[in-house]
Amino acid sequence: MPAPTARDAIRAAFLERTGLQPAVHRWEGYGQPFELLHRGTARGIEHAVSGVIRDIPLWMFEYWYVEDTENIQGERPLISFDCIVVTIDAWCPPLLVEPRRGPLGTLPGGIAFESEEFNRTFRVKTADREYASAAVDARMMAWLLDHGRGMTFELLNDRAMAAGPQGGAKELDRVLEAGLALPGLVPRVLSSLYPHSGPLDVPPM
Amino acid sequence: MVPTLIAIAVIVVLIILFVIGSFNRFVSQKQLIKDAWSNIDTELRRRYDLIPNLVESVKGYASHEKEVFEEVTKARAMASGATGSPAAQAAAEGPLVAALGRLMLVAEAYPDLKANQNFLALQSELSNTEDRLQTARRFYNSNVRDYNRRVQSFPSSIIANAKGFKTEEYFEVDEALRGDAGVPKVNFAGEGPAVSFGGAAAPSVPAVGTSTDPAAPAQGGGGTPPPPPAQ
Repeated sequence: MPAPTARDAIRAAFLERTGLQPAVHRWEGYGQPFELLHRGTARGIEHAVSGVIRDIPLWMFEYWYVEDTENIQGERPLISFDCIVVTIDAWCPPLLVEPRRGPLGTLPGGIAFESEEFNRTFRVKTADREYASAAVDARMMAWLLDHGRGMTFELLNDRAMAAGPQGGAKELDRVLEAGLALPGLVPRVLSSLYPHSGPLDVPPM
Repeated sequence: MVPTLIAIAVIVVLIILFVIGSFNRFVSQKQLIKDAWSNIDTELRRRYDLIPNLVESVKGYASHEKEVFEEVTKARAMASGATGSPAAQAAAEGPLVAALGRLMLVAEAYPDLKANQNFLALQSELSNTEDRLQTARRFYNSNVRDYNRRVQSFPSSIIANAKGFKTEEYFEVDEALRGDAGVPKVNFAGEGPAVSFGGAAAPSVPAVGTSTDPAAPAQGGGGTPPPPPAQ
């Protein structure tokens, strides 16, 4: 049996602190085609945990992928994230908010918003600009600039995901906080414009 | 000589393609702005339709607040009758937003009214309409911003000038009329502003594992894990 790593210790302390439980079933993103979870030439989801914090059911897991393009050193870097998925009261088309500065440099394009600072910090991708205006409102932008720098966020159907680069305990807590904030941050107007057609689904674990 | 002619021909073709592409993009952007404006108009009409019922509901409990009712009715008439540019419409919307704010403050003073199901439904519908209006306004303004940027930037400005594409107006309701005039930060429902015309602050998120939070699981366990997948 291999000796526990520093990451194991962080993970164990986190579970003890939050009360989250290791997931019985592996969370493979079935039915959850978040864009982030389909990147790279190889990828994996590990250490899935679940639970309820502040009345919010949540699912957390570690995710890694190998970049499909080489960096300037000619290597394909392995990128690791801590992710959290929560449910939201709407049925949203796919929307991705990611840091403008990616692992391989500054990302071009994306939908431009009224805040230049936000446009410089994040890239927003979705097929419908009107939907983007509804989903990323002024409050969401302010929150992302204050608390979400360096993190990736996605909306899809009745799920929202926050993902932060893997780090220490502090980074893990930051991802958890971001995920817990998401249901309150998603603009209410989405429920009206993209209504949920039935009771909220429980993501597979 | 021939290579020079070919080079000139290629440049001319590229210029023609740029002109056609740029012109067509201006046309589609103008259309997008028009569509976005019609979304705003739809939501404004929805709001105008709600106001008379809302006034009647409040009147039933606070009939002596005639001044406020008259103000709302007058502002609604002016706003719904406004035609022309987005700036003119926005100027007419300001007083209506302010008057609605005062109406909501009046309503707040009557607990029976706050419990009235009809009033609550109207208030919820108004809140919903305001959210949609904000979204439509942002979408319209983002289209105007993109379009105006092209009208004013080189080299697309050449096409804009030649073909008469002028900058469009933004739709912005005067923020001063929203704030101190008391517009709707009314909350009858309990969580989140029931009616909110302005920006809201980011929600505060308590720290992880706060022991005072009854919803937070106890140390070392507690949270009910979701059921296994139905696959």
